[in-house]
Amino acid sequence: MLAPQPSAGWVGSDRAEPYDEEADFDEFMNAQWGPQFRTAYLLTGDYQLAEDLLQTAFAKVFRSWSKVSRMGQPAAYTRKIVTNQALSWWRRRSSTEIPTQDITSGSHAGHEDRVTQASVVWAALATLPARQRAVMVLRYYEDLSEAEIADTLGISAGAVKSHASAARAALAQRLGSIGHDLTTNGDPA
Amino acid sequence: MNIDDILRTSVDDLARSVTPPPPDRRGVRARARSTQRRQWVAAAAGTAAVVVGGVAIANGLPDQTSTPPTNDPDPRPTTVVPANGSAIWGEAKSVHFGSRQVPAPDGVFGFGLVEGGAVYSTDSRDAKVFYQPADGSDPRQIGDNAQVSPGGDPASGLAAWFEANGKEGSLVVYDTKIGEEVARTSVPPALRPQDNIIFPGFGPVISLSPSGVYYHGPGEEIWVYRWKDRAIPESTGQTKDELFDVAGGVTAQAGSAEGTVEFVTSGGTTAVSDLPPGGYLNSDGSLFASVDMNEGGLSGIAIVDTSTGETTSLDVFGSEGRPGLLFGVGWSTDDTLMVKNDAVSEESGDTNSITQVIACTATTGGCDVVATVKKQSFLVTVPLS
Repeated sequence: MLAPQPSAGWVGSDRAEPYDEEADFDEFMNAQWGPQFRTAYLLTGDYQLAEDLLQTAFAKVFRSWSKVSRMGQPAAYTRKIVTNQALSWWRRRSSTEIPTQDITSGSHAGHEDRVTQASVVWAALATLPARQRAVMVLRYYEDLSEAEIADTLGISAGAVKSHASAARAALAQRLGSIGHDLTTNGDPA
Repeated sequence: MNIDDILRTSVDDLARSVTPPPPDRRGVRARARSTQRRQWVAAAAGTAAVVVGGVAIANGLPDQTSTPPTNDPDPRPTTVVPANGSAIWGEAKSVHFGSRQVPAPDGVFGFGLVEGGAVYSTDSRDAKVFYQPADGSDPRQIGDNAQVSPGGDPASGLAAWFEANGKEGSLVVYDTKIGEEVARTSVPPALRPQDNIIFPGFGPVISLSPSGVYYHGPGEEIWVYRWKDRAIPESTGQTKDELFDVAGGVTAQAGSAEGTVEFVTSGGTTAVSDLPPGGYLNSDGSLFASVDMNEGGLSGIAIVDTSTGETTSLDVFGSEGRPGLLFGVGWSTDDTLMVKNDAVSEESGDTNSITQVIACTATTGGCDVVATVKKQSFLVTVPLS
């Protein structure tokens, strides 16, 4: 679960004070646009699509801002919209559309630098089913807990465990096949 | 190097490698206005359909700042099929009791059931709490400043909610039968429910009975307020992944074997089922709805007889339903399970969601789509179990 944010929660201490709702939203959007864009980009792998998803997500938040801001955790709410939009896009995507980058070609084998490693991970992530990819991004980029991921995706904690386990196994297999010396006994999602 | 280290480092590198575009303030507002227009037309079309069909539709009307309608007819307005008289749900500015639609001018936000009616919190900054009798008579305001959603006990007139007044917070128990608050306890900030429960219907109260109010407390723990003893709330010592629901003298909790749910009464364990964690008891505790999610979203709902463990799968989607992301499940009667299903619009090919309100009969396993709403998903709420 997310840590409580006293200043942005449901507590009604500031409810009686008038405020500029649009300015409040703009401040939120300016602060969250970058982080949320990066999440969208990791989820979709597409710069333009990520921008489009973000615009849609913030439009939804804008329309409900009085409600969302009152409930607290608007960033989590926006992340939930972005993630579910991305999942919707994945579902609509043609089943014939598959990653074109062959990460088992061996061209990266033996390289230890982080850039190469990141590009390998990027390609490996793209081969995962949508829900598994989302779990990985939320876990490793957003650093969300299992419970927070479950909340974001609207699935059970057990399902998060299942997706995380399958994704880590698939990634370990792919990364291992190109020369990374891996152990899989790390921090579970 | 283990895979978690590699993934954490690499994903962070990937995120940093991309330069986000600047915030598109104008584009966001234009898109928001465009969506608002479509919804206005949808509401208008829905109202016209109502006149023909004899069913009143009044929801999602635009606020003062919305744009007037344009030539943008919506192919899928809200439709309500009054097929199941046991179906109860909330929708924007109305509460549905079967085919009876009762206006809720302040908006329905959180939603729970009590015997003979519903309790709901409003979509307003002061978050009023109303009791709406099922006979359609006038609603009564019974509280305000509610946190997300009130909970109710369908077997009695009891309702409960968290009230926030500045730094002060209270857990309130109200009896709608006698029209009086019957218990109130101050709850310090550190012991209040988490405030990241952001969807209506996902209120902090998970179970309410004359013996106590169970709720999502701080951390991931379930707390109980045994209000008749005038005690302060206390932790059950179980997390939300361990304690799922309490109703009718039955507790549904994680079994000792991983991947099982067990049902416990004062006489001991009555049944153990091989089910994913989580689910909802009906008000007498005789049935448990277990929700299973898979890669594509909701994969199914199973109903378990808590005395025998016998399990029946519901045909949730049937011929009309379209699997989507699940946002809510709740019992409207002891035999009727309401499912809110957010499906992806196939016609538009975009990300506009269609919310289906589905009513399932536990004893037959059959389900009907009782309403289809092309709206923001949070405008529809099923009863908070």
